[in-house]
Amino acid sequence: MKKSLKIIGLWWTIMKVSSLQLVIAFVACTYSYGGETYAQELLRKKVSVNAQQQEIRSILLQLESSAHVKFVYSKQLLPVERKVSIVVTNKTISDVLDQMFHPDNVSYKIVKNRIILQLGAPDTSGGIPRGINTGEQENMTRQTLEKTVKGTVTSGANEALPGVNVAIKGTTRGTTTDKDGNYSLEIPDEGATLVFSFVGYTSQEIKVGTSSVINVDLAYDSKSLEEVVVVGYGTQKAGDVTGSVSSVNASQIRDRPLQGPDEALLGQVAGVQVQMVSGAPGGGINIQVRGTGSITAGTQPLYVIDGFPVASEAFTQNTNPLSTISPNDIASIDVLKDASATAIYGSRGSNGVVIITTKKGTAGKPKFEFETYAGLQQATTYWDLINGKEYADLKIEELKRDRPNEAIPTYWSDAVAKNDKGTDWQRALISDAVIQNYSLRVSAGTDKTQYSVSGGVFSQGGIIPNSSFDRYSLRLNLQTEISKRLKLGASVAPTFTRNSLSQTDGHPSTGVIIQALQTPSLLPVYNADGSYATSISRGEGFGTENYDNPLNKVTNITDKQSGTRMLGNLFLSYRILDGLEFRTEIGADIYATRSKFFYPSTIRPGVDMAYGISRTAESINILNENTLRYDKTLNEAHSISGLLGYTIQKQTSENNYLRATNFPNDLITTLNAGRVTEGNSREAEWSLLSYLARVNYGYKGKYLVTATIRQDGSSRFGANYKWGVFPSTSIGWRLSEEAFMRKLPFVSEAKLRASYGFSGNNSIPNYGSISLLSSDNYVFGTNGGTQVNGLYPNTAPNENISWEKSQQMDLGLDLGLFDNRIFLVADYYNKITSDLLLQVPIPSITGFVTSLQNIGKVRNRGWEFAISTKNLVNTFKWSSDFNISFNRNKVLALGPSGQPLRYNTWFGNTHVTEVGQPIGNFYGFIADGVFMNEEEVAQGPVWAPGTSASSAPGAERFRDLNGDGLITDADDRTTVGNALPSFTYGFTNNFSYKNFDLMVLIQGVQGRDIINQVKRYIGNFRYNQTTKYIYDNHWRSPEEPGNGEIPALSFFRGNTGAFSTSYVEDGSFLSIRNIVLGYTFRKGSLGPLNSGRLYAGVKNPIMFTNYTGYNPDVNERGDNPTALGVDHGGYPLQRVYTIGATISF
Amino acid sequence: MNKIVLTLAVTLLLSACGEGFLELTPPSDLNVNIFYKTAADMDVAVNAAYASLKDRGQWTGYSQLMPYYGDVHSDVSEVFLNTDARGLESFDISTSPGNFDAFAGTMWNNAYQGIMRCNVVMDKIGDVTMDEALKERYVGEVKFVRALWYFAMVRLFGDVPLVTAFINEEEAYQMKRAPAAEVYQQIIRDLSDAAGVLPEKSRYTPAQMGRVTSGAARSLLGKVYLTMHNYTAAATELAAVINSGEYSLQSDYNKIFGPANENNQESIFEVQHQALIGVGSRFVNDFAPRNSGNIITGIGEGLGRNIPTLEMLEAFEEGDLRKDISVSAGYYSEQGDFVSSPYTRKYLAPMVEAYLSDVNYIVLRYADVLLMYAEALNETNQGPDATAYASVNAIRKRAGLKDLPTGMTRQSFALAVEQERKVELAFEGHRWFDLVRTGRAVTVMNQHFKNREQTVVVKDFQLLLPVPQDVIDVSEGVIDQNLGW
Repeated sequence: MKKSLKIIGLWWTIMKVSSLQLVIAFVACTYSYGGETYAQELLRKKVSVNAQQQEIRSILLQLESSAHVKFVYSKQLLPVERKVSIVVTNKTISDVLDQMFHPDNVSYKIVKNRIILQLGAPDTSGGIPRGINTGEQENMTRQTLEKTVKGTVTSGANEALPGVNVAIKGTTRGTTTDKDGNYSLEIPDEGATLVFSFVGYTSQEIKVGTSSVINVDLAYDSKSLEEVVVVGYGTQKAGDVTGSVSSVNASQIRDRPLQGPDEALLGQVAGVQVQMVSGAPGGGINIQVRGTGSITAGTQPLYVIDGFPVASEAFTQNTNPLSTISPNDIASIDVLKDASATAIYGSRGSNGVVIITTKKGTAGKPKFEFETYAGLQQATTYWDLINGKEYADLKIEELKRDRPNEAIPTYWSDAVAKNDKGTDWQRALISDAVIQNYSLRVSAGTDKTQYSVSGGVFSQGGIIPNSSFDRYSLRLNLQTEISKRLKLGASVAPTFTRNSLSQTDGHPSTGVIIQALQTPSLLPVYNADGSYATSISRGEGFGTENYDNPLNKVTNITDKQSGTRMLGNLFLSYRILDGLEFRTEIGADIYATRSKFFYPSTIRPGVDMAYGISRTAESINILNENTLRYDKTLNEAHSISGLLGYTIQKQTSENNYLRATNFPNDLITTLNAGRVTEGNSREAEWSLLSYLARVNYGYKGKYLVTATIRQDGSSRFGANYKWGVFPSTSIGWRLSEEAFMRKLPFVSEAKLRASYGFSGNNSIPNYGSISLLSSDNYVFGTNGGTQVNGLYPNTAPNENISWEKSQQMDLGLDLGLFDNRIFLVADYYNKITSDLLLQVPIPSITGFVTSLQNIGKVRNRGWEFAISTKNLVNTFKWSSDFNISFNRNKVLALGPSGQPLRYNTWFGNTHVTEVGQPIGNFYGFIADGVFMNEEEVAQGPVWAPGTSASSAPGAERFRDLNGDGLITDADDRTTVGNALPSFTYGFTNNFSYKNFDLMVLIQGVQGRDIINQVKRYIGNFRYNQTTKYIYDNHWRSPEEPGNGEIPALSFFRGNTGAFSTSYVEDGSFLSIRNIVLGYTFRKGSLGPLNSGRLYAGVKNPIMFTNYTGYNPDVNERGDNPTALGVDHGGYPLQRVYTIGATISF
Repeated sequence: MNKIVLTLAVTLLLSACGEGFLELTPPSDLNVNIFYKTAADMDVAVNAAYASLKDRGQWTGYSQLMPYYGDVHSDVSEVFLNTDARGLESFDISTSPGNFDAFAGTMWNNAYQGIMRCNVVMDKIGDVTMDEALKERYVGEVKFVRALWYFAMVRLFGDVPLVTAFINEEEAYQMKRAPAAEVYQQIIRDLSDAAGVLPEKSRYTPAQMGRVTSGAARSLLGKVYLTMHNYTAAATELAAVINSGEYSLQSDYNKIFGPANENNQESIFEVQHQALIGVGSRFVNDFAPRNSGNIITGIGEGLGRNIPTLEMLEAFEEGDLRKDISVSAGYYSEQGDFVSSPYTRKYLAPMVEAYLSDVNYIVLRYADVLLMYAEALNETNQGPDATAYASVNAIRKRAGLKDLPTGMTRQSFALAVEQERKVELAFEGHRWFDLVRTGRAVTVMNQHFKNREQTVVVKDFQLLLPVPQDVIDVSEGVIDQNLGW
């Protein structure tokens, strides 16, 4: 009690301190922060200039180096060769510029950290820069001007590009585009060629010819060295980054029907494996950065949303907290991969860090963007199952052979006689569904205040009834300059999600997918009276095996979950000195879910009673970050930047659970109608206190060094290891800046990178170090007695428990050729995670079977390559992005005795994780055909006596590995596969011709095995439905032995369901994930609309795979790396046909 | 400006607020460090020791494990897992140690968890200020529970590690198996202590019913001596129970079982259950025939986990009133057809929710004491005396059977007692232990398998279970395997 009071007191102190900081900040401070907000600050930089009769051009040059700014201007348009004298001290850049250019009216615009100088007032909306009539007037009048060409320069689909240089090739004449991307230029003749260029974009040359309107879409040079990359706690120029960071921007993820930001990464980033483990709406997606680095503590990366590291406890196969973020709001996703990039996140960085940055407001008149799409979803594939007649055939065959004394039920013989098609349960369960998305974003602002407000509705129906996911999201991003030094920003993003789960996956006792597959096709969906048929209700011909009606289940069981999430933060920044800034931020992530489950009495009448479950969960995560940043260039050669930070984060979570039974009927499904038989509520907390620092040093942009360190203290760690330190260092050498490289002019960029560092994984239980008591009640007293409370120690104490430690080395090369038309990024890494957290078996005579300990070591090492090429850049454009990753996983140590970790699925032991092998090897028998006849049985090998199975003609034969003539669990099982892929790849192609564009995303996985556990239900057992292939090829008798691989459909014939290679399939695939064909309307062609775009797409159109199940990306127990690659009736993947539109005005 | 920097620095330091921020106490779970301080805490800790006996899910707890090892493991019942997997019985499994490990492991781990719960009470209660008499009683109760677990362990595994205090991992790694004799000595000490301090059944209030009594401790002690073939000591303890006047036979055999008859006059110790989540028992569903749906259970499926063998059905003499109360040869399907699938009726009870029944597990009852007494006397006197006859005949009389013929030899009387125990205590978890105690296990089991035309042959070494391989592996060889396995 005292402790908790202390904590409340503590928090009060923290809040007090934070408000104090706010007050201070309001009174006096300013701060600048990366991206757009930073840009506005450029013009306010204080400079001193002392120039006598110098060309403006050279003054600008000096300013560039002394004030660390970059000017973009057309020397044809601006009087930059004019000589001026100017002496100022500590004036803002805009003051200096005004003074220099006087009397010309020059306006300044900031685009991507560059100051664009234009003639004319900033708000000129006419589209023709005044420069035409001023600076170059004299020149122009001397020539014969034949025609005027005008047009719009855009980037991507709709984004107008202001400040683009438009020059007539071979002349000094040209113009720049206005703020809406418009230009107008008078040209001498039709033979002229226009050159469009803009920093950060690939230049384009276009022959004028007869056209008078030339619209240009400049390709963003994504590998441009001026590109800004989001790194932990800040941004960095791509050219200066020495760690391994990959970025995905908004234009790369547009037009795809995505449920959340994680799906956006599919096939985009080398070293990041995105698995679409389930087709369930709102379902989980598995992301792994550089392999599986943990066994029990989770392998998902840390997600940082606009600087807020979100807790990942809530991830499950069915629910995915990231799905609360609308993909339409995303400006960029950056993936930090190596230790030099992730170490700044310390004890949470070892699985990689995914930083999601949302769209911010920009200065200008309100701009509306409306995006929508709608689509139809279908199952991509179906099992080829037998029909009613064939089912009856099998039953008769089996009865005649194995139970010759029993009469053949007429139900079966009739079905054969009538050639009964029966029920296609699969198609009865799966039907087409609709997906739709609407999003509206408004952004606007002045040079002081910008905002972006967006709202979205996403609704995905499920191809299995009663499964769906809906999201209603709102986001406000605001930033404003309170004074020259003080800046304030806020972002608020409330989201509401609604998920209907349907119990689809897993064992047929609950999962309707396997249930539908295994239900005999002879069984109708409905009885004659319209009630749902079950084998018990039908009786005849099905023995006593009970087939529930899956359609009844999926239609009538209620399993809904809703979530409300509020992610918000507020920051204040204050510029203390030139180059020194302080920033404080307070954020909160409040996430509440509630779920309702109701199982009506009509599912298995008389057997199961109705019951209902109600759950609520709420987590509140509060973050306070304080950072001090320094950025300075000394003597034009030494650039130094630094970061010091102190952060504090705490999460409190609470969940409640109530279960009721004894419902009088199914009409009222809330728990009040029943009797509550079970109830529970729990709370948990964790806290994290961190100090962090980073130093970047660059010498002339050639030699780059970064060092980071973070110290994390966590409530989760044991008393003996409360604090962890995570240092990292990296170096970069930009060869392309060296003089000797000028001999190789085709090399436009070359950088070597090397890094080494440490990070951790703190996803360990909140109270793993303390011996907790669990309740186990008892009963005393007569007349049924009274329950009395009991408590006993349930977990073994461990004061030494700590984070999992990972150390990683990375060597990288960035190579740009031919003006970066070919850009290659290659990385080699070696990551060793040690002190893996394992539930280690301890002598159970302690009263505890296991204890959580830091033991075990796993290595992931591999190669990653990403190649971007601009294959064609003229009217017909074609660019490609290809990435491929090879990761090799190996367990180096496990437990004190090195004992393998075994994992049991419904097959019994199917997975073994052992030292020297990759995590989660499959473990089973090697199938060796079928015993054709008695002679073959006599030759063996046969099941050892005493085992439950027998060997008989028609039974499966397994390979006798130890050669003793007997099949035993102990001696004849071996490694039979692994679900970790040999390599994964993604290949995106973008084509465009005039207004049309086409995107094709291909993604694939090679060398992955899957345990197709579905076959256990539809291949082996006596009463179940089976596939056409098995029907055609199974052993019927020594005379009709089938193809020698499929055993008899009989329980008596040794079909034990033992796990063997017959269930292991190659899960490699090459999937065309998306094809999108778009048409962009040029400005003006849509009347008042600024721009518009229409597209049609198809998701998952074609998949090349030998896998026989629904989805080769499946991972039933994806949260558990020791049990990867199990298909246990996973939700089928959908093919989605969409049409969409984007309009801005 | 410097002032501002200074202020900011100070606020940073202020919010650094020290280590307390990282020391969080679990809000929803008590932990060892803050518990075991008061009499109320100890009460709850003692309850948890009792709770180790109850059914806590499939194959857990004393009340689930004893019917399994006592009956399913013997010739009287079997597990009926699937229509087609008939006869997948304990001994079939036990010939393949790999498969059997899981079962043996469950026993081992459950026992030591129960023992740990008892040890925690004894370790911690010394420092608690509370009523000394109550303290003594609590210690007596957990000593009985500990003895019950050790008695099961020593009979099933022979030598086992003897843990009598809360030990940590390091200590556990050093601990070898103690010789069975040493374990028996500990059991005798614990039970004698318990018998000395615990009240008789009649001294407990109705609300306390179900707690260990001195009668229970003595009855168990009698059984321990009997198992050790110390017949004189067994007879002494059992006579004390009989002469205490605390217990008597129920006149109607049917009134021994079921929730309505809990803790009746014949009952000496029961593992208590109540039809609520956490304290309910699974017997009704577990023991109903597989594929019988809810015909027998009322709610939820029958799982066929303790199914009478044919021999058991035939073991009842003509006219034995106990037969129809103990077993049923089958049931009628919804269509009205008779399904010949036998099941035990001793654990039936109405339920409101599947797998949650009120049914208790009777560990010790007076009829058992009488039969043990007869066995002890027969052995002490090298033949049955009048008291031995009277003890058995009292039970036969209630069953509607004639008295045993007079003039039986020691051997024939011993066999008569064995038969009487087989039918009187059927499915109550005694049979296997009876057979091992009397040295008849190998003979009876092999005859059983022969009758069933099964090829299984039980050998002497199989009278003890294999030490679970996991246990041996984890101990890094400190704990060794039983001979033969």
